[in-house]
Amino acid sequence: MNALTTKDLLFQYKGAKSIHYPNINCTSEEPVLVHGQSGTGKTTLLHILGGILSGGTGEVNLNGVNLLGLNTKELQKIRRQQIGIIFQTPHHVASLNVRENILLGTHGKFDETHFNKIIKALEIDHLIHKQPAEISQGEKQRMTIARALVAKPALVLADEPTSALDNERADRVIELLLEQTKNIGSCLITVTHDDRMKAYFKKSIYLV
Amino acid sequence: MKWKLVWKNLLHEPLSTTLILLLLTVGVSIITLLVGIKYQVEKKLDGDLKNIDLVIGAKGSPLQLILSSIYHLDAPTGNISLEDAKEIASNPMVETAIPLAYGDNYNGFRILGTDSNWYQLYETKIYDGKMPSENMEVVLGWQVAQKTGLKIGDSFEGTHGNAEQGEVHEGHPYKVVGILTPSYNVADQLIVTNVSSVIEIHEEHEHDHAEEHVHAHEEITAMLLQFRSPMAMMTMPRKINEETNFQAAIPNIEIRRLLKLLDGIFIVIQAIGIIVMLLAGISVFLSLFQKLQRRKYEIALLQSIGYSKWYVRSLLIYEAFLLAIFGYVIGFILSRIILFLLESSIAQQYGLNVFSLGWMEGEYLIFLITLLTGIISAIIPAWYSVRTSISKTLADGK
Repeated sequence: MNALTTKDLLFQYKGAKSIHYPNINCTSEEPVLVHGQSGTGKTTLLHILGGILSGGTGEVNLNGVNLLGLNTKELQKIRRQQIGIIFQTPHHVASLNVRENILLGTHGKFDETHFNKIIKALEIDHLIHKQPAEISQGEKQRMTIARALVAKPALVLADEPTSALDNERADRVIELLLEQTKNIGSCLITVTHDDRMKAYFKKSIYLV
Repeated sequence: MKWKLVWKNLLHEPLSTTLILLLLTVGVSIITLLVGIKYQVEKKLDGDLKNIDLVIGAKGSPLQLILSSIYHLDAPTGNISLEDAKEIASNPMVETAIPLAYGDNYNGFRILGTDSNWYQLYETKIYDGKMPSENMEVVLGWQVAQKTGLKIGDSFEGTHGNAEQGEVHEGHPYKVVGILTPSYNVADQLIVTNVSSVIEIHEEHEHDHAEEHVHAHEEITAMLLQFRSPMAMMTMPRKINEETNFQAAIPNIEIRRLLKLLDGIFIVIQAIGIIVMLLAGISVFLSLFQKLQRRKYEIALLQSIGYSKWYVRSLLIYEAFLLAIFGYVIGFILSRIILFLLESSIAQQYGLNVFSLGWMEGEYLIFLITLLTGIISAIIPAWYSVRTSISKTLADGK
């Protein structure tokens, strides 16, 4: 079972405040919701956990490996093999179509059945040959969710994954995220300021 | 995936891609064209020299004598006495002496009176028919036969001078008795007969036109000499120039002088080509920097999902590499099309086959320079592409 734990995680902004994060204990059985108002360091936390922001102190253990003790190359390998990130803005490569954007997350290890299952569940199976410019913001967000899940990572980090979606679709997407991460055995940590999402998570952390 | 991404990125920004390609293409075509013309002109000039050590003719410009008697491009400097020329040819240091008598043309193709040594010199043989054995019999160079449509057994009258519109030597028809094999040199553009045919026509021409004409001695236009030993080069030219009414011109010296004159023009055009290539390099550089701005989220995204810094840098370098390859290929094709068009017009105007469309000396270097221009222009943008913070960029993109 995959597990992510943090211990005494502290991040000091350059010349500004520091944030002391509560300890997190996340498994594939127990996804974690991190919520709080804007400016409380939710995205910063996500970036530290995802290995794309250095400077944190303490411990971030993913399956026993402390990410804060790794060098750039080791972190890059961890990101490639074990972490899937869903950003609040559905960043994508404009020149690639939806399918190719999703496959960016596979790094060559492509499981066609898993891919088809995900795009169908996210209701983007009819869009895979379209360019990102031809689809809506909500569809782009679902494309980035598919990209994060397609490689069956040990850890899925989602930053406001439902911000661009309507209520009905937001519910389905969060259900899907929970279901898929459970199926593939990933830890899911979602940060949001959307209180509606608390209903879906047994474990939540509130940042102030 | 990498090459696919590179290719799609190029197609995704057609305007920028086209602009860079256009600049690279223009630069490559100018330089390739120039190298091609220079190479082919030098090759042509050297090729037609055929180890001729010395040309003797009437006093005048030595370059004009060489151009008219070897390349059949210019007007002759005048006539010389055949008898006196034979005296020079009888010098023991002379291995081969080839008399040339010309001054007429048919449809712009020069009619040359010479002897059998000339055919050996230009390595041409009979393709069809036979060699001239009687006066007024001619053989046609390959291009002459193709372009005039003359066949064996046909007759034609020559026109006085080098221009097609000159006075026709009526009543003195030449008869075609043979066609020469293609030799890919000046021989392809000539109508060849024996010396006495040309002398015969012009003696009668002078009798007709000059009441004061006193003595019609035999004259030729020039004589090509090959020496037995290089030592003859030390003495013969000076001796002829000082002791006779003839001019002795050394083809190698005159052609080097001509090429030196042409070098100035080539250098100017080459400079223009290099400036265009530099502009292309700068435009690749600026365009990639602009792309960095537009693609900063993509670059950060790729890194966030585990693609290495080198992978991201190489995307930009490969883009520039592909642009350089395409720029070179299109520029090369364009230069060959222009060379082909030039060849057609030059062949018609001057009766020369100057250009070939194959790979030429120096073009490897142009290819390397083009590739380096692309890659070097991409190095700095590629270096900068991964220097920004992934986290900050992706957070800013909210």
